[in-house]
Amino acid sequence: MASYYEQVEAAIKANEKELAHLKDELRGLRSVEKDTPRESFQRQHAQILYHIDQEQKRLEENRALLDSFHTARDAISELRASRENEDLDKLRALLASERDPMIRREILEELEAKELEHQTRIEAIEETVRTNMANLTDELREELRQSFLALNEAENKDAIEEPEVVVAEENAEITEGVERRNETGDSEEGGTGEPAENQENIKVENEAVVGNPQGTGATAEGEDTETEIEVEIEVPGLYDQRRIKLQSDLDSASDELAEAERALQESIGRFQSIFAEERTRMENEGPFRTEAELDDFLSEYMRQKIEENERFEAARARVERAKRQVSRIERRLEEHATLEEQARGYEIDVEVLEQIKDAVSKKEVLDAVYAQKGLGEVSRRTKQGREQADRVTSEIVEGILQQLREAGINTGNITQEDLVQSGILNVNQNGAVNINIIDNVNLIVGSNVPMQQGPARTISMPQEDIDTVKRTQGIKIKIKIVPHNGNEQDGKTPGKAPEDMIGAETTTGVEHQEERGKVKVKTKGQINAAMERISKTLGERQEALETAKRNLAEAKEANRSPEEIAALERAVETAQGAYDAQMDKLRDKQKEYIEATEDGKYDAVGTERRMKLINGEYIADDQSVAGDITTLRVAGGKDDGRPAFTDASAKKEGQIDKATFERLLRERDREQGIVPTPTRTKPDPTGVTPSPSKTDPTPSPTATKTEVTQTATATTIQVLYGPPVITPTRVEPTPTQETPEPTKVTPSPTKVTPSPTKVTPSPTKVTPSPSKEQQRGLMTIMEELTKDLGLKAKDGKRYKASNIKVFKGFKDELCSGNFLYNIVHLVPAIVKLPFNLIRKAAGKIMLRAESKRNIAELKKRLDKLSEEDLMTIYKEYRGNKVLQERFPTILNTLLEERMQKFALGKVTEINGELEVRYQSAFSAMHQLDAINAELAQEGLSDARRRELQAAKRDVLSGQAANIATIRSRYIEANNWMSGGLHGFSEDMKAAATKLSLVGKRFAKDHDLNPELLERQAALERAEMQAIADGDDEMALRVFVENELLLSKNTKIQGSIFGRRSTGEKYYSPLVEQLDYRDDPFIRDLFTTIAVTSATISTIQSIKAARDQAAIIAENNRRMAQNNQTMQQVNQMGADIAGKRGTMMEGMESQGMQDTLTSANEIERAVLDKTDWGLGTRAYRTADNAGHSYYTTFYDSTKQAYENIAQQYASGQISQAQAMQQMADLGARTHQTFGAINTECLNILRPYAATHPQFNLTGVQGAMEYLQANPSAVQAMNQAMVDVTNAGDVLASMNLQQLIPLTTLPANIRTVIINGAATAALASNINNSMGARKHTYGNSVTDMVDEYQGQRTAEAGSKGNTSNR
Amino acid sequence: MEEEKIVINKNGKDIECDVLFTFDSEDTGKAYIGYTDHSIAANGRKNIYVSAFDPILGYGQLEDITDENELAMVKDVLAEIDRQSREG
Repeated sequence: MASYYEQVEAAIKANEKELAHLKDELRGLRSVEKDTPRESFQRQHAQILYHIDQEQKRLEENRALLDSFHTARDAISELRASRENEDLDKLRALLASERDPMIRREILEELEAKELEHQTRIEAIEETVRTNMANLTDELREELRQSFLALNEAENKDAIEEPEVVVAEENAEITEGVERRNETGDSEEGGTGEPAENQENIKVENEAVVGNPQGTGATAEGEDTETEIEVEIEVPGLYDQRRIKLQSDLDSASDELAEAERALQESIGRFQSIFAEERTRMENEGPFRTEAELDDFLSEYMRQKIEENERFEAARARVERAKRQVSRIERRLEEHATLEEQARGYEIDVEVLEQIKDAVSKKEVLDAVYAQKGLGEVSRRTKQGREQADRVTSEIVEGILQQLREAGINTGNITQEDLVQSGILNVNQNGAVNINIIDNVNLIVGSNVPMQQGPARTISMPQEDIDTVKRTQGIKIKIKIVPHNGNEQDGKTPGKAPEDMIGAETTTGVEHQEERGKVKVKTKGQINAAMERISKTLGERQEALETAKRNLAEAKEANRSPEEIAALERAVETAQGAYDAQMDKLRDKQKEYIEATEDGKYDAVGTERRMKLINGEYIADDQSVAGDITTLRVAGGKDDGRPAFTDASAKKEGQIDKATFERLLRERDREQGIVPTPTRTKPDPTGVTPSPSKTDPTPSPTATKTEVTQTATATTIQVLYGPPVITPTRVEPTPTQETPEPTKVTPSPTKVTPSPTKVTPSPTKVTPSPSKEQQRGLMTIMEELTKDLGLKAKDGKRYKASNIKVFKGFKDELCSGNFLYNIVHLVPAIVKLPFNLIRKAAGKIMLRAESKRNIAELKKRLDKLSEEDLMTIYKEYRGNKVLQERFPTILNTLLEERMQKFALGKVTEINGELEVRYQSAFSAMHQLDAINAELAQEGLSDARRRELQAAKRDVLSGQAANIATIRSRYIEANNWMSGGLHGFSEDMKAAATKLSLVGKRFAKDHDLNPELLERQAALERAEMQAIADGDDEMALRVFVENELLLSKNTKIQGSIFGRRSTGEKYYSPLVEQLDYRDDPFIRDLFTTIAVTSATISTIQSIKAARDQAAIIAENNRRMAQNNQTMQQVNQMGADIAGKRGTMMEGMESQGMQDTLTSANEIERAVLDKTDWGLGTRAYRTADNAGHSYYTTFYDSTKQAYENIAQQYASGQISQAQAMQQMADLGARTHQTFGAINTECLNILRPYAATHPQFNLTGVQGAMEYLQANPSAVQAMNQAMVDVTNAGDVLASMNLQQLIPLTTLPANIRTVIINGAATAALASNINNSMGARKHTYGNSVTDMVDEYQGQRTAEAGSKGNTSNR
Repeated sequence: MEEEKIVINKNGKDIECDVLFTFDSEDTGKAYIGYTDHSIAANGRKNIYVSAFDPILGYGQLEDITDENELAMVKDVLAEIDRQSREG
């Protein structure tokens, strides 16, 4: 009986033969195609093709079977051959014979390396065997197995004859300590049968016979069929430095434990001695007669016991520590041993395994993160996760710093800790880096406290001292950033509070409850008590109010007398007033309390921040500046930190604001009659002081009090310190002042030197009529709107729950997880609700309530605005103004609402007018028609005609103007609605998000500064008055001062993120659209982000490369999985692409069928056309024409297909190209067929209609379907092309195309992509910026700066003080 | 935070309850309080009572929470507290 293998071979031959036969048959059929009926031909053709396909499949399957058989057989043979490795044998023999430990070690290493390499190769072969064996049929598999079994048996006979050869080489001495192991799991009883003494310490490996994967063969049964004996020497941990270190540590810790236990035991012994001695003495010397004797005796031993107890406790603590240490090290050893075991199992180094575990843990963490909602949701709940996150953070930040340095950005000595603590960088667990844009960051080297935003102070130590301490003490000096606490001298504790502050109300934290010297301050507790009292009274007032209301209601119900009701109403009013007053008190107290509890607020008297008033001797340079602390020394008091001033508002030291501070300074100046010297103005280093020209109308820039004599009555403009006091009279220029010539100079569009003798700001002098009522300016309106409302930048923003406070017990309970809860909402009768609790719960909502009241007040004020004011706002209040002046969002929001109302009113007004005008126009048209109709009548008298002509003129009069007005008013209304109202709304939105066209996106947020606004408003009023009065000089002066004010309050500061506006204003005198290229902040930011992003990308790339080795094993595992997937993908692609031939045949058939069907249709159409007059001349003619057409169609199509086949066969085009061409040809064929179909359908339709006796709906329906879907076949063909092409791609796809992205964690991918994108953007921006200057400002700001610099220089030369 | 207690009158008896949490909301202008008398409901769960009060007028007065949005907010807050407590 033939083997199964032979059967398969025979089957293949049979397949090939059958296939050849079928192909012959096909060729034969095609050769007689013309003579064969169509249907018969088609049927036969299809049948043969089907059989060919089936036979081909069978052939391929059989061939694949034999291929697998051959491959498996070869692999097994290779495997067998590989097991005999001469090199390994030599090395083993060498190792057995070598005595020198060092050489033995080298040999062992080499042996291990070669064994590893060998093992790897064997595993690969085994994989091949397994794969191919799996592909075989059971019969073939069995045959293969049997063949090798037979071979093994033959070989084993030879091998068993001399088994001792291998073992005999083993040397008992060198195998000392060597582990014996049987990797196949067989017990030693199943070994080689060697004498036991020879087997000791020798690893005997009994390999299962290859080719027996099922384990059903003789070898798996434990029979004595071993083919090889392999010796492996292992000395676990022999050279493991870590184990050695841990073992050493363990020894030390054990010694320490023994020592500690000894000390403990000694202490116990001493205790026993003390007690024993005590007892002995008591027996010998007792009984004691007096209490004094007993006390002396006991005290002596008590002292000893106490002393010994201390030693005992110390010894016991030492023992505990030592035990913990031992336990810790033992745990590490265990972990290490486990790791070693695992590493051995994986056959890799422990270090590599650790790196792999590290990489895997990262992946696990990342997976956990991605499993959640998004990148922002990062879990740090596990210790591993936290550590991992910290590690990733640390690596990234350090990398960023390094890259920033390399990018040329001065990072100084900033550490990563500084960056993270300062909140600049927030690196998520998943590696995403958030860059927080903050204002000022003080980065101090080595700071160990969280960074402070804003002012900070350092406690300094002279460098010599630092060096001394470093040298002598060997300690690290840290410079801490501490918040400044006010009155204390630098680096010392707060000084005493002044006596006149005793009893002053202020706020303080609980921690300051203790009395500071003589100072008594109100604590939170005191405020709390006051609130309790006020609250109780409030409750009483509320009751009184309700009683009064009730009485009134009852009186009304009872129809009491009007007098009585009036009296009760007054009582209600009075009660309401009392209640309101009490409520206000409570609110004030609550606010006070909350402020006292808020972080960052001033604490007790004497610990306030910032503005420090020192009571001391007058010093000329009395305003000292140290860091950010400005100290004002006030004359007349003691130098003990007490202020001598008596200003009521400054009584609460520590609550003094900047304005008060400056006012005090000014008042002091006036009182002293001394003009202070400038403290921060640098004198001109050249020593050249520009002499002010007599003709220079510019006010002295450095004078704090500038007197400008403009009329007989002196007018003082305090332009630098406060709102100007300006007399409303017209001011005449001084005789010495030159009036600028308006027509002489045209302002240069570029930089202009502000010389008033040459430059005229406006070529035409504007002198409004003094009689005209002066319109209020924007600043004035805004000042009135916002006055005393204390609007904040963030007012009006909404959010949900806040100020959540959780009590400790509840937290613990939740942590325990022991309970589930029902939420019950009810209104219980409250017996006791601590007021303190209410305040805790109320939190900032109190302040918000106040904020709401302010907003309500603002709404009221907005409603009261006049039309003129609204018009002013409409014209002037725009996005850039909002940003420039820091108007708060809530003001914009409410203004927008108000302006909508205003604009809609305007539109309504115009609409009303338009209605009237339309009415007029249409009425005129009606009249005109009537007049024209009458004029057209015959026999109209001349008089009537004249009358009508006159009426016509009257009717038409003014209509052109009316229509023009309609048009213009419509445009006006449209502008109000679309451009104006919508524009205003959009502008406000853009300003709120800082995304307006004017840019400035990254300027710092500031609250509205009411003081500054007040000064601006005053200057504005002065300017408008001057313009109204035609006072050129005054207008000019005020204008310049206003510009200077804005410029001074615009502070452009550099930070590590580039230059940003941090001032209270953002001065931009020219109305310009700052695009990204012009906005320095954005440019810098982009650059920074680009650098950082690119940095991160780089870091990640480096990191990825560094980790490459560590994740090799992990990659291998993934690769194995991916390979399997790819094989499937490739197979799928190959399958699809393999169908190309079938599809091509289908296409060809389709094309040919089209031609055939065309013929049939033509035939039919001819018959239909000739009314089935077979044999008639008309029929014959049409039929011939149809045949001719069809033949041509068929021939050309067939020729085209043959051409394609020929090109493909000759290799000119690929199979895919051939298929595409066939698809195209099929489309054209089908198009032709479609045209024929349409033509024939036109014949069929009338025929079918006139021959109802024939049911032609089927034919007609089919033809109509073809007509309706002309591209169906074309689309189908193209789909086949596309699918098979996709199959090609899939078939050729390999892991190399996918791995780079798939193996990267998603976050790194994102970072790299983002980084690249941002870097590209930044690069484009920088490139397109070209030669533009890279500094903030424009020609006008330069002008202002120059002017200001000039004034400063002049002031320096005069020795005057320049201040704001 | 330290423990706080309130005393309510339930069925004529004064019962001392532990305050569990408080919060406020700008949307409603109210403050909210959650507390429990540690009673266990029929479903085996502990009862948490939630009430609202006016932070300005709220001396001694609690209000029922009937608005669905408010209740949803309370639940959100509880979920948030739970989440934070578990994360430590």
